[in-house]
Amino acid sequence: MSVSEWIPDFARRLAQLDSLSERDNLTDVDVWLGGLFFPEAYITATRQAVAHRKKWSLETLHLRLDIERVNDPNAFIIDGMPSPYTYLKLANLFVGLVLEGASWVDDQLVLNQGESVRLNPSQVRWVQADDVDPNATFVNLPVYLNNDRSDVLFTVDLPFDKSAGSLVSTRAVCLTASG
Amino acid sequence: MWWFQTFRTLQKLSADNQDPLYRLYAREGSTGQKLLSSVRKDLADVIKVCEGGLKQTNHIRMLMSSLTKGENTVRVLCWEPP
Repeated sequence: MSVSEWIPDFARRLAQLDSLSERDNLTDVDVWLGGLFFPEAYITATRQAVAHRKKWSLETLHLRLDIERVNDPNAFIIDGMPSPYTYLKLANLFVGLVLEGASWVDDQLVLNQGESVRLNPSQVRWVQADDVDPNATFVNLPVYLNNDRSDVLFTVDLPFDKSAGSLVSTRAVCLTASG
Repeated sequence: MWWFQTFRTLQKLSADNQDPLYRLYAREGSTGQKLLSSVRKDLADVIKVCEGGLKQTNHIRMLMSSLTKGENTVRVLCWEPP
């Protein structure tokens, strides 16, 4: 990365942190995940926060990523309390998740011709039991820090269009977080 | 340049808060602040060297060379994160 790319990127990161420092409540903020210096630590922190708040054991928590959905009233359906505790609302053009090799149509992955798709704000949730739709077919996808695909932040199970069959695993579909 | 102004960067967040997200952002803030300081110092040193007020070091020489070439500067400088 050259200085002319690095400096604006660094400045945007500082701007995010600067705006965060003005918040009273840091548990409920929209975050540019790829703009954090330690994005994996963010995922870990959300997990710890949920475990702590709900008095759940860390080992029992499962990660959910709700693509293009925020404030899902069904979040944390286990105790019946709607809680948008750890959503990632990636609103700005530069800061969202990008889906590579597939589009998000009718709440599922549909393979495309390999192009990248910018996603609307999505939310991360930690749930205790599997609340998945038994009729849906899931594929485990990596969420990479950026499109050089060298750092995996986490992996998520996402529903996909069944007609794609095994193609979904051979097309190297993934998500990236750098925006 | 606006980014060269002082960033508050979460300095007011203390390290003794037990909330995991709070601690995360405090760490992000201190990392950003340290990195910003070293970037500013390096760039200020370049200016001083150009003005004749500072002797070149290997670090500054590498920095100036990679700045003009525009390649891999960040790696040379240890301006790590982004």
